[in-house]
Amino acid sequence: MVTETQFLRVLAAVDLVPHRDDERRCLLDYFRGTGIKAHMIDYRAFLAAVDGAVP
Amino acid sequence: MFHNDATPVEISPAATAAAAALATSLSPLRATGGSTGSGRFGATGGAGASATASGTGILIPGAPAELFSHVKPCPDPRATLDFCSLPASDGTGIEASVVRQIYDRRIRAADLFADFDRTKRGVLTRSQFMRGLRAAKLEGISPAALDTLANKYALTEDTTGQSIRWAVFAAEVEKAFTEPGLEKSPTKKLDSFARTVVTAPHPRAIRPTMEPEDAAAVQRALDAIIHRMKTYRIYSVKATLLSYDKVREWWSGGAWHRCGDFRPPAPPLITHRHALRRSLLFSAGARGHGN
Repeated sequence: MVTETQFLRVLAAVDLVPHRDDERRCLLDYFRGTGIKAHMIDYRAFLAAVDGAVP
Repeated sequence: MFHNDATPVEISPAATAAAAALATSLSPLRATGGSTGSGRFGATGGAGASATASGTGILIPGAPAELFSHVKPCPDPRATLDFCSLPASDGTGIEASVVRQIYDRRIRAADLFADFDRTKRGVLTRSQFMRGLRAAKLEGISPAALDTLANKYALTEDTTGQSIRWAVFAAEVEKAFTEPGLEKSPTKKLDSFARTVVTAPHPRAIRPTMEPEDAAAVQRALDAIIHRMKTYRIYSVKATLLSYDKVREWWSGGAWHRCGDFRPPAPPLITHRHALRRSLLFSAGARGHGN
Protein backbone atom coordinates (compact mmCIF):
# COMPACT_ATOMS: atom_id res chain seq x y z
CA MET A 1 0.00 0.00 0.00
CA VAL A 2 1.17 3.48 -0.82
CA THR A 3 -0.51 6.77 -0.28
CA GLU A 4 -2.44 8.48 -3.02
CA THR A 5 0.20 11.19 -3.27
CA GLN A 6 3.00 8.69 -3.63
CA PHE A 7 1.10 6.79 -6.30
CA LEU A 8 0.41 9.91 -8.33
CA ARG A 9 3.98 11.07 -7.86
CA VAL A 10 5.34 7.86 -9.33
CA LEU A 11 2.98 7.99 -12.28
CA ALA A 12 3.61 11.68 -12.87
CA ALA A 13 7.35 11.14 -12.98
CA VAL A 14 6.97 9.09 -16.15
CA ASP A 15 3.91 10.97 -17.44
CA LEU A 16 1.44 8.17 -16.87
CA VAL A 17 -1.21 10.14 -14.99
CA PRO A 18 -4.45 10.26 -16.97
CA HIS A 19 -5.08 13.77 -18.18
CA ARG A 20 -8.85 13.64 -17.81
CA ASP A 21 -10.14 14.27 -14.32
CA ASP A 22 -12.79 11.54 -14.41
CA GLU A 23 -10.29 8.93 -15.56
CA ARG A 24 -7.84 9.92 -12.85
CA ARG A 25 -10.54 9.84 -10.17
CA CYS A 26 -11.90 6.48 -11.31
CA LEU A 27 -8.41 5.01 -11.52
CA LEU A 28 -7.70 5.98 -7.91
CA ASP A 29 -11.08 4.71 -6.73
CA TYR A 30 -10.58 1.41 -8.52
CA PHE A 31 -7.27 0.66 -6.84
CA ARG A 32 -8.21 2.07 -3.46
CA GLY A 33 -7.73 -0.17 -0.43
CA THR A 34 -10.48 -1.49 1.76
CA GLY A 35 -11.30 -1.08 5.42
CA ILE A 36 -8.76 0.87 7.39
CA LYS A 37 -6.60 1.16 4.25
CA ALA A 38 -9.29 3.05 2.34
CA HIS A 39 -7.09 6.13 2.17
CA MET A 40 -4.28 4.26 0.43
CA ILE A 41 -3.72 2.75 -2.99
CA ASP A 42 -3.17 -0.94 -3.54
CA TYR A 43 -0.22 -0.65 -5.87
CA ARG A 44 0.12 -4.40 -6.22
CA ALA A 45 -3.28 -4.55 -7.88
CA PHE A 46 -2.15 -1.78 -10.22
CA LEU A 47 1.04 -3.64 -11.07
CA ALA A 48 -0.99 -6.78 -11.73
CA ALA A 49 -3.30 -4.83 -14.02
CA VAL A 50 -0.46 -3.41 -16.10
CA ASP A 51 1.57 -6.60 -15.94
CA GLY A 52 2.96 -7.55 -19.31
CA ALA A 53 3.17 -3.99 -20.57
CA VAL A 54 6.93 -4.22 -20.51
CA PRO A 55 8.84 -7.48 -20.79
CA MET B 1 -23.73 15.06 28.02
CA PHE B 2 -21.23 17.03 30.10
CA HIS B 3 -22.20 20.13 32.09
CA ASN B 4 -19.92 22.70 33.66
CA ASP B 5 -20.00 22.66 37.45
CA ALA B 6 -20.49 26.46 37.60
CA THR B 7 -23.78 26.35 35.75
CA PRO B 8 -26.91 25.03 37.41
CA VAL B 9 -27.92 21.65 36.10
CA GLU B 10 -31.47 21.11 35.00
CA ILE B 11 -32.31 17.43 35.13
CA SER B 12 -35.04 16.73 32.67
CA PRO B 13 -36.96 13.45 32.75
CA ALA B 14 -35.70 12.71 29.23
CA ALA B 15 -32.09 13.08 30.32
CA THR B 16 -32.63 10.82 33.30
CA ALA B 17 -34.22 8.21 31.07
CA ALA B 18 -31.33 8.47 28.58
CA ALA B 19 -28.78 8.01 31.36
CA ALA B 20 -30.64 4.99 32.64
CA ALA B 21 -30.75 3.50 29.14
CA LEU B 22 -27.03 4.10 28.67
CA ALA B 23 -26.20 2.46 31.98
CA THR B 24 -28.43 -0.47 31.11
CA SER B 25 -26.67 -0.90 27.75
CA LEU B 26 -23.29 -0.92 29.47
CA SER B 27 -24.32 -3.31 32.20
CA PRO B 28 -23.53 -6.52 30.23
CA LEU B 29 -19.96 -5.35 29.73
CA ARG B 30 -19.56 -4.60 33.40
CA ALA B 31 -21.23 -7.78 34.43
CA THR B 32 -18.83 -9.70 32.18
CA GLY B 33 -15.86 -7.91 33.70
CA GLY B 34 -17.04 -8.72 37.18
CA SER B 35 -17.77 -12.36 36.60
CA THR B 36 -14.86 -13.49 34.48
CA GLY B 37 -12.23 -10.78 34.98
CA SER B 38 -9.54 -10.81 37.59
CA GLY B 39 -7.02 -8.27 38.83
CA ARG B 40 -7.58 -4.84 37.37
CA PHE B 41 -10.62 -5.97 35.41
CA GLY B 42 -12.16 -7.40 38.54
CA ALA B 43 -12.00 -4.04 40.29
CA THR B 44 -13.84 -2.32 37.45
CA GLY B 45 -16.35 -5.09 37.31
CA GLY B 46 -17.13 -4.66 40.99
CA ALA B 47 -17.78 -0.95 40.56
CA GLY B 48 -19.93 -1.70 37.58
CA ALA B 49 -22.02 -4.09 39.62
CA SER B 50 -23.03 -1.32 41.98
CA ALA B 51 -23.83 0.96 39.03
CA THR B 52 -25.95 -1.74 37.46
CA ALA B 53 -27.83 -2.11 40.70
CA SER B 54 -28.71 1.57 40.82
CA GLY B 55 -29.36 1.58 37.06
CA THR B 56 -27.89 5.01 36.31
CA GLY B 57 -24.14 4.47 36.13
CA ILE B 58 -23.50 5.96 39.55
CA LEU B 59 -20.46 4.71 41.37
CA ILE B 60 -21.59 5.80 44.85
CA PRO B 61 -24.19 3.47 46.26
CA GLY B 62 -27.17 5.13 47.81
CA ALA B 63 -26.61 8.57 46.22
CA PRO B 64 -29.46 10.26 44.35
CA ALA B 65 -29.37 9.45 40.66
CA GLU B 66 -30.04 13.04 39.51
CA LEU B 67 -26.79 14.35 40.98
CA PHE B 68 -24.68 12.12 38.77
CA SER B 69 -26.69 11.98 35.57
CA HIS B 70 -24.09 14.17 33.82
CA VAL B 71 -21.20 11.81 34.67
CA LYS B 72 -20.01 9.90 31.66
CA PRO B 73 -20.03 6.20 32.55
CA CYS B 74 -16.66 4.51 32.35
CA PRO B 75 -16.85 1.42 30.12
CA ASP B 76 -15.06 -1.77 30.84
CA PRO B 77 -11.42 -1.50 29.68
CA ARG B 78 -11.84 -4.66 27.67
CA ALA B 79 -14.64 -3.05 25.71
CA THR B 80 -12.19 -0.55 24.22
CA LEU B 81 -10.24 -3.44 22.73
CA ASP B 82 -13.25 -4.25 20.60
CA PHE B 83 -12.58 -1.12 18.57
CA CYS B 84 -11.73 -2.08 14.98
CA SER B 85 -12.14 -5.72 15.94
CA LEU B 86 -14.58 -8.33 14.85
CA PRO B 87 -17.76 -8.41 16.92
CA ALA B 88 -17.77 -11.16 19.50
CA SER B 89 -21.10 -12.42 18.22
CA ASP B 90 -19.67 -13.25 14.78
CA GLY B 91 -18.32 -16.69 15.60
CA THR B 92 -17.79 -17.75 12.00
CA GLY B 93 -16.02 -14.53 11.10
CA ILE B 94 -13.74 -14.84 14.11
CA GLU B 95 -12.74 -18.38 13.24
CA ALA B 96 -12.20 -17.43 9.62
CA SER B 97 -9.97 -14.53 10.63
CA VAL B 98 -7.96 -16.76 12.97
CA VAL B 99 -7.55 -19.42 10.29
CA ARG B 100 -6.49 -16.91 7.66
CA GLN B 101 -3.91 -15.25 9.91
CA ILE B 102 -2.46 -18.56 11.02
CA TYR B 103 -2.30 -19.74 7.42
CA ASP B 104 -0.71 -16.54 6.15
CA ARG B 105 1.99 -16.67 8.80
CA ARG B 106 2.50 -20.43 8.48
CA ILE B 107 1.97 -21.08 12.18
CA ARG B 108 1.61 -24.65 13.36
CA ALA B 109 -1.42 -24.33 15.60
CA ALA B 110 -0.56 -27.31 17.79
CA ASP B 111 2.70 -25.66 18.83
CA LEU B 112 0.75 -22.88 20.52
CA PHE B 113 -0.89 -25.24 22.99
CA ALA B 114 1.14 -28.46 23.20
CA ASP B 115 3.43 -27.27 25.98
CA PHE B 116 0.48 -26.47 28.23
CA ASP B 117 -0.97 -29.94 27.88
CA ARG B 118 1.23 -31.98 30.23
CA THR B 119 -1.05 -35.03 30.21
CA LYS B 120 -1.53 -35.04 26.42
CA ARG B 121 -5.30 -35.25 26.71
CA GLY B 122 -5.96 -32.61 24.08
CA VAL B 123 -7.75 -30.46 26.63
CA LEU B 124 -6.61 -27.22 28.24
CA THR B 125 -8.13 -24.79 30.66
CA ARG B 126 -9.74 -21.70 29.16
CA SER B 127 -6.94 -19.52 30.50
CA GLN B 128 -4.28 -21.68 28.89
CA PHE B 129 -6.14 -21.76 25.61
CA MET B 130 -6.45 -17.98 25.61
CA ARG B 131 -2.75 -17.59 26.44
CA GLY B 132 -1.82 -19.89 23.62
CA LEU B 133 -3.87 -17.92 21.13
CA ARG B 134 -2.56 -14.66 22.50
CA ALA B 135 0.99 -15.84 21.82
CA ALA B 136 0.12 -15.92 18.12
CA LYS B 137 -0.48 -12.15 18.28
CA LEU B 138 -3.58 -12.28 16.12
CA GLU B 139 -4.77 -8.94 14.81
CA GLY B 140 -8.32 -7.71 15.19
CA ILE B 141 -9.31 -10.45 17.62
CA SER B 142 -10.46 -9.03 20.93
CA PRO B 143 -10.54 -10.97 24.22
CA ALA B 144 -14.30 -11.19 23.88
CA ALA B 145 -13.86 -12.75 20.44
CA LEU B 146 -11.39 -15.24 21.88
CA ASP B 147 -14.01 -16.12 24.47
CA THR B 148 -16.46 -16.85 21.69
CA LEU B 149 -13.92 -19.05 19.96
CA ALA B 150 -13.19 -20.91 23.20
CA ASN B 151 -16.90 -21.48 23.76
CA LYS B 152 -17.16 -23.21 20.43
CA TYR B 153 -14.46 -25.72 21.34
CA ALA B 154 -15.45 -26.16 24.99
CA LEU B 155 -15.68 -29.69 26.31
CA THR B 156 -19.36 -30.56 26.59
CA GLU B 157 -18.80 -32.91 29.52
CA ASP B 158 -17.43 -30.06 31.60
CA THR B 159 -20.44 -28.02 32.67
CA THR B 160 -18.27 -25.13 33.86
CA GLY B 161 -17.05 -24.51 30.33
CA GLN B 162 -13.45 -24.19 31.49
CA SER B 163 -12.09 -27.14 29.49
CA ILE B 164 -11.24 -26.37 25.88
CA ARG B 165 -10.46 -29.03 23.29
CA TRP B 166 -7.37 -27.49 21.78
CA ALA B 167 -6.52 -30.59 19.76
CA VAL B 168 -9.81 -30.35 17.88
CA PHE B 169 -9.20 -26.65 17.23
CA ALA B 170 -5.64 -27.30 16.03
CA ALA B 171 -6.85 -30.10 13.75
CA GLU B 172 -9.49 -27.82 12.24
CA VAL B 173 -6.94 -25.09 11.61
CA GLU B 174 -4.45 -27.54 10.15
CA LYS B 175 -7.02 -28.43 7.52
CA ALA B 176 -6.20 -25.08 5.95
CA PHE B 177 -2.93 -26.64 4.79
CA THR B 178 -3.91 -30.24 4.18
CA GLU B 179 -5.84 -33.12 5.68
CA PRO B 180 -4.44 -36.32 7.16
CA GLY B 181 -4.91 -39.61 5.36
CA LEU B 182 -4.81 -38.26 1.83
CA GLU B 183 -2.64 -41.18 0.76
CA LYS B 184 -5.64 -43.47 1.22
CA SER B 185 -7.96 -41.26 -0.81
CA PRO B 186 -5.81 -39.26 -3.20
CA THR B 187 -8.76 -37.92 -5.16
CA LYS B 188 -10.41 -36.46 -2.11
CA LYS B 189 -11.43 -32.86 -2.52
CA LEU B 190 -10.33 -30.58 0.32
CA ASP B 191 -13.53 -28.80 1.22
CA SER B 192 -13.18 -28.12 4.93
CA PHE B 193 -14.12 -24.77 6.40
CA ALA B 194 -10.50 -23.75 6.90
CA ARG B 195 -9.57 -24.71 3.34
CA THR B 196 -12.51 -22.76 1.99
CA VAL B 197 -11.39 -19.72 3.93
CA VAL B 198 -7.81 -19.71 2.72
CA THR B 199 -8.63 -20.49 -0.92
CA ALA B 200 -11.22 -17.75 -1.18
CA PRO B 201 -10.01 -14.59 -2.86
CA HIS B 202 -8.36 -12.23 -0.45
CA PRO B 203 -10.60 -9.30 0.48
CA ARG B 204 -7.92 -6.95 -0.73
CA ALA B 205 -7.80 -8.60 -4.14
CA ILE B 206 -11.48 -7.94 -4.79
CA ARG B 207 -11.87 -4.80 -6.82
CA PRO B 208 -14.89 -2.57 -6.23
CA THR B 209 -17.89 -2.77 -8.50
CA MET B 210 -18.19 0.46 -10.44
CA GLU B 211 -20.76 2.12 -12.63
CA PRO B 212 -20.45 1.28 -16.35
CA GLU B 213 -19.18 4.72 -17.29
CA ASP B 214 -16.68 4.68 -14.43
CA ALA B 215 -15.50 1.20 -15.39
CA ALA B 216 -15.07 2.41 -18.96
CA ALA B 217 -13.04 5.37 -17.71
CA VAL B 218 -10.78 3.04 -15.72
CA GLN B 219 -10.31 0.83 -18.75
CA ARG B 220 -9.43 3.82 -20.93
CA ALA B 221 -6.92 5.04 -18.37
CA LEU B 222 -5.32 1.60 -18.02
CA ASP B 223 -5.15 1.15 -21.78
CA ALA B 224 -3.43 4.50 -22.13
CA ILE B 225 -0.97 3.65 -19.36
CA ILE B 226 -0.15 0.25 -20.85
CA HIS B 227 0.27 1.74 -24.32
CA ARG B 228 2.61 4.39 -23.00
CA MET B 229 4.62 1.88 -20.95
CA LYS B 230 5.03 -0.33 -24.00
CA THR B 231 5.92 2.52 -26.31
CA TYR B 232 8.48 4.20 -24.11
CA ARG B 233 9.71 1.07 -22.30
CA ILE B 234 9.01 2.41 -18.85
CA TYR B 235 10.57 -0.01 -16.38
CA SER B 236 10.96 2.10 -13.25
CA VAL B 237 7.35 2.16 -12.02
CA LYS B 238 7.49 -1.12 -10.15
CA ALA B 239 10.80 -0.50 -8.41
CA THR B 240 9.78 2.99 -7.37
CA LEU B 241 6.43 1.84 -6.00
CA LEU B 242 8.12 -0.95 -4.06
CA SER B 243 10.62 1.45 -2.58
CA TYR B 244 7.73 3.53 -1.20
CA ASP B 245 6.34 0.46 0.56
CA LYS B 246 8.28 0.78 3.78
CA VAL B 247 6.52 -2.05 5.58
CA ARG B 248 7.30 -4.49 2.77
CA GLU B 249 3.75 -5.78 2.35
CA TRP B 250 4.76 -7.34 -0.92
CA TRP B 251 7.32 -9.48 0.91
CA SER B 252 5.49 -10.70 4.02
CA GLY B 253 1.96 -10.85 2.65
CA GLY B 254 0.41 -14.00 1.30
CA ALA B 255 -0.87 -12.58 -1.98
CA TRP B 256 2.07 -13.62 -4.10
CA HIS B 257 2.01 -17.32 -3.40
CA ARG B 258 -1.77 -17.35 -3.60
CA CYS B 259 -1.48 -15.97 -7.12
CA GLY B 260 0.74 -18.90 -7.99
CA ASP B 261 3.81 -16.72 -8.42
CA PHE B 262 7.13 -17.14 -6.77
CA ARG B 263 8.19 -14.46 -4.39
CA PRO B 264 9.79 -11.66 -6.31
CA PRO B 265 13.42 -10.88 -5.65
CA ALA B 266 14.11 -7.94 -3.42
CA PRO B 267 14.16 -4.77 -5.53
CA PRO B 268 16.90 -2.24 -5.06
CA LEU B 269 16.11 0.34 -2.43
CA ILE B 270 16.13 3.39 -4.65
CA THR B 271 14.01 6.44 -4.50
CA HIS B 272 12.55 8.06 -7.53
CA ARG B 273 15.16 10.81 -7.45
CA HIS B 274 17.96 8.25 -7.43
CA ALA B 275 16.35 6.38 -10.30
CA LEU B 276 16.16 9.53 -12.39
CA ARG B 277 19.74 10.48 -11.61
CA ARG B 278 20.94 7.02 -12.47
CA SER B 279 19.07 6.96 -15.76
CA LEU B 280 20.52 10.39 -16.63
CA LEU B 281 24.01 9.18 -15.80
CA PHE B 282 23.50 6.07 -17.92
CA SER B 283 22.25 8.11 -20.85
CA ALA B 284 25.28 10.37 -20.54
CA GLY B 285 27.55 7.35 -20.74
CA ALA B 286 28.63 7.28 -17.11
CA ARG B 287 29.73 3.94 -15.71
CA GLY B 288 31.12 2.66 -12.45
CA HIS B 289 30.50 4.03 -8.96
CA GLY B 290 28.27 1.17 -7.98
CA ASN B 291 26.37 0.90 -11.25
